[in-house]
Formats: sequence, structure tokens, C-alpha cells
Amino acid sequence: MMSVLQVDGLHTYFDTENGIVRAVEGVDFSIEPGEIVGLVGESGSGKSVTASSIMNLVERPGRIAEGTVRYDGQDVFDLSKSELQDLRGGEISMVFQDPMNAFNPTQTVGRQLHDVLRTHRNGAVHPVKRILGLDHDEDCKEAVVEMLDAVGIPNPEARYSDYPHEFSGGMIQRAMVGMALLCDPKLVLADEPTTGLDVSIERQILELFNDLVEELNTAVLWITHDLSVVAKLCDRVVVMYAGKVMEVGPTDVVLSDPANPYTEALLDSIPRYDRPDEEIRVIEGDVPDPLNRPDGCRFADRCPKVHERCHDAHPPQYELGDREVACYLAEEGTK
Amino acid sequence: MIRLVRYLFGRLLWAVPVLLGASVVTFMIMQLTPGDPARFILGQRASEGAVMELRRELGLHQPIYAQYVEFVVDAAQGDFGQSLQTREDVMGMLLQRLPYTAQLSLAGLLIAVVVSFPVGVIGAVQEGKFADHVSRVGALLGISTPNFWLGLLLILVFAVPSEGFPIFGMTLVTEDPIDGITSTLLPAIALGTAQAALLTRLLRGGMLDELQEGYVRTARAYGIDERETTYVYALKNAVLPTITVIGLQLGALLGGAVIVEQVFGIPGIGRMAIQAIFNKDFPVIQGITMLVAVAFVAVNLLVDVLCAQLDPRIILGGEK
Repeated sequence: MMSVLQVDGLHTYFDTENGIVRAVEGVDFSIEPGEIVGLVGESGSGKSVTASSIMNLVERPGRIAEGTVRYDGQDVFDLSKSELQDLRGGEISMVFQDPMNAFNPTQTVGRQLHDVLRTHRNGAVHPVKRILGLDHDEDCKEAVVEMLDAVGIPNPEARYSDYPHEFSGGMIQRAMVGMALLCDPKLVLADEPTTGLDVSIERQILELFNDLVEELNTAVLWITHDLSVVAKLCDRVVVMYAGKVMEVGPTDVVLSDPANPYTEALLDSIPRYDRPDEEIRVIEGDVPDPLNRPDGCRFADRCPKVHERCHDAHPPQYELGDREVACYLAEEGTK
Repeated sequence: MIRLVRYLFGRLLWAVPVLLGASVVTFMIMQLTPGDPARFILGQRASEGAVMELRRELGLHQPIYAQYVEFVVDAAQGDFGQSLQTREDVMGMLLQRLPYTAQLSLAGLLIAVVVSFPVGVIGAVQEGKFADHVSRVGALLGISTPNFWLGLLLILVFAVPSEGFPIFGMTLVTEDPIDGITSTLLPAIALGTAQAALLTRLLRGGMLDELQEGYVRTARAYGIDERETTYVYALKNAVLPTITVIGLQLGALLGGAVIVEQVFGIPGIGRMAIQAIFNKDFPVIQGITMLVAVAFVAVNLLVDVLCAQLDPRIILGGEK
């Protein structure tokens, strides 16, 4: 079966006054139909830039320097402008971290969902036509109301005409999820969609995702820094650090028996409620300056298991059972 | 609708203290004149009898609080007394000259809006490109061009060589539409240029800010047409704060009108104000000041209601 998404050797750079920031430096992974893949890493590891790159949404001063992103076998970077517009929202959609900010404050939520569906069903309209409301499509409206109902927004008919500020944090994220699923996409990129929500709402959103994805057989790339969410939701996990993929594999294997010292350190830094007396272990040192990253393994300066060769070059991906690990220890198979 | 009426009522109540404040300042114009205002008005060589006569006419023989109460009660009924110079009723003079200033100011505002909207928006959309540089340099020139100089330039370049534009005076559009427009065009450009430049910069900045907003990123990520995002979503949000500024700029517009009316010889409120100041015609000055205060309160009320109608985040009168 063909992967929904195949990312190969992706490099995304930002040209700044101080030099080139290599936000993403050689990322490879794939997503199968209906699969939920977690993309984890600390802030600044390149998770969100990876997501934007998948949709070819990176804007100046950013650029895709190298690599391919294949959606259904088709290279996203080869698509024409109109093909790209069909892809965005139609085939791949995105759920953003701060939904209140991701909606336009002066348009009703229903109207914004309507505009997405109308664009993908009937195409774009002239701005004047849109301002006068002549683009209104009753079928689109009905489909939007049904979707608001499906994502668990009570009284969807009335909520259609409410503005974003009239929604609660949890409800607006539900509406965002509804927008993401509106055109029946094969892949949803969820960029930290539960950050900023309280735990019970987070749980509801996770369950909502789980159910809908199962029902519609949609694949999901779930970007987060929260490993407990990954444990609950994801089939596989991709661990990123400083623009590089450190480890890829099935969630249960990676989280129970990490093969990369970075994954291990990340797991160790989670506070454990069942061991309250244990000191929280923080990862010593700082994330390397993106303008001046080490030549060797990106994690070498902070790694407790560092060897001499680690400083020479960043390790390639070694296959280790059903996972891939970027660490020289994996090559030796000794850990 | 009921909320709107209640809000309007509340705002009108708020206008009372504002206008009372304005009335105190206006009233004090005469009181703060050093020495005896009547002597000041009439000059050193006037006879003692004439000064006494004027003192009685202005009510200066009464205690100050009684003078103020009388001023406010009369002003509330639209009675500002008579001009000391011409013996005309001040209110009548104001009503006769107001249409000229209104026509000039509205035309100036119209030109400002018609020019600034496309130029500002194109500048933002084409940020850093040629059109943006033209828009920015144009706005800078517009802001730094004094309106009296621009007025004289327009007269020299357009009005003097051609028959189409009068050099002097203005016709009301209600009297003769064609003459009304041709006689208003040049002074309106002189008056509106600085406003146009200011609004251009505001809109350009507002649009640039809006185009950075999350909802624009969302629209892009969902394949929504760039034109729809820019000209429907972002433009509306950039225009909202601009409307408020247009209301606040009314003062600058009226200030500009004083000079432009002088340059073009337009018989409006501004020209009347200058004459009244030179003639120490206190009742006229007071009438004009109060008229401007009322206009300011009224326009800003209108702007607030308009903004609330356009922006769903604003709830009239606070609590929902």
C-alpha cells in the first residue's frame, strides 16, 4: 500500500541577517493511511516548520532547500499554484495550536467553515461577490452545520452564526477540528492542538480525534512536546531534535525502550506522579544555537553517553528492529 | 435595536458633561482677557460711555456665575447673542456659513478616503515592491506638504490658466451642482491631501499587521483564494480602526479648513473665525467654538455606532 505521506531528506532553511537558520535538516518519515503519527521534540526542534513544509506553506525568509514531500506519490513541491490550493484543506488540512487566533475575529465561525467548503466545492469567488454575500451556498451551510454537530458542538444551527469570541476554548478547537475534516482530507496535520487547553478539554479533543480518524480513516500527524499525549494517541512516533530525526518507531517500543539517548532523556524529564520524591531530571545544557550547530551529533554536547566519534559527524539512521535510530550506539547494537 | 437606542441615549447623556466642559472654556475666553474686556474690545481711545454701554451689553456688570448660567442657558437654545461687529445674530451667521465648511470638509474627507484606501492597501499587498515605495513616498510628501502652499500651487497651476476652476469663492452644490463641484475640487484637494496621506499610512500599516495574523495563515493553509483573504478578511479588519481615526481627525480637518477657506476665499466658518478673532468679536468666537464642539461629539458618536455595527467584538454599552 502506498504511504499517504512520504517525507525524504527535507531541509528547510531561513535566511536571516545573522546567517542561515537550518530549522529542518534532513527529515525522513512516512505516514500510512489511517495512521496516527506523533512528532515530538523540544521547542525549536523544527516540528512546526516540518508541518508547514509538508503543505509548502513556508514563507519568506524561509525556503525549502532540499528534499521531497510526496503526498499520494505526488511531489508537493512540484504542484502548480491551483493544484496546491486544492491540496491545502482539501487533501491535507491543519489544526492550529491557538484556535482563537486561527479564526478571523470579525467573521462568524460558520461562515469561515462555509468559505473553506465553498472554495473546495465551487471554487474561489470575486471579493466583491463575497462581501455582498452572493457566494452563499445552502448545501455548504448544511454540511457545515452537520460537521459542527459531528464534532460535538451543541446547538450547531445557532452556533453557526456565532463569532469566535463567543466560543469557549474547547468549543473553538472543536470547530477547528471540524474545519480540518470538512473536505474529507486523507491527512490532518495537528500542530499542538491541545496546548493551552485544560486537561479535561484536552482529553475530549483527543477522544474526538481518535473517533473521527477511525471513522473516516484519516491519517494524522500529531505534533506535540507532550509524550503522554503521544502514548495515549499515536501508533508511531517521530522524535526530533535540532532539525534532525533522532528516532522513529512504534510508540510502545520507543517509549518503553528508547534506543536514542535523547529519547531517553526526554522520557526521564517527565515528572512522575507515582514517584513524587524522585527528582525531576532535566537535560543538562541548552539546545544548540540554530545558527551555529555542532558538526557532529546534534545532541553530543548534552548526551550522557557521548563517544569521541559522536563529535565527527551526525549519525545516519540505523535500522533497529522495526525502528530507525540516529545514534552510533544503535549501530553497535549495544546501547 | 432596543440596545442601540439605549446606547444612543446613554451616549447623548455623556455628551452633556463634555459640552458643559467646552462651554466653560468658551465662556472663559472673554473672562481671561487681561483687564476690562470691554475696554480691550473697544481700544484705548474709546470713550468711557461707550465702554460702559458695551459692558452692559455683554453682561459684564453681573457676577461671574450669573454670567455663566446666562451664557449656558442661551447657548442651549442656540442663542449666542449678536456679533459686535455687524450686529447680526450669531446663530444666523453660523447657519449661513456652515454649509460651505461642511461641503469643503466632506469633499476633503471623500478625497482622502478615495485616494488612501487603494493606495494604502496596494502598498501593503505589494510590500517592498515598486508600488509600495511609490505609496510610501507619496504619503510622506502628502503629510509634509502645508495645505496653504498646496492651495496656492493649485490655484496657480489649475485655476489661473483655465476657466474651469474659480480662483475665489465657492458655490454650494445645492445651488448649482456643476459649479459646486468645480469650485470645491481644488480646495478639497488642498484640504484632503494631508488626510489622505495619514490614512494611507494607517491603512498600509493596518493591512500589514492583519496579513500577519493567524487567520490569514489559516486561510492560506485551507487553500482559500489569496484575493478573498486579502480584500475580504484582512481589509475589513484593517478598516475598523481607520474609521475611528477618521472621526478623531475631524478636528484636524476643521483646523485645515480655516486656512484653506482663507486661501480660496470661501465664506465658511473658518474664515468667519479668523475675522472674528481679529475683530475681537467674542460672541462670534464663542458660537464657533461651541459649534465645533457639538460637531466633534456628534461625529464621534456616529463613528462609534458605525464601528459597533461592523465589529462584532464591540458590544454597545458594555455588558451584553
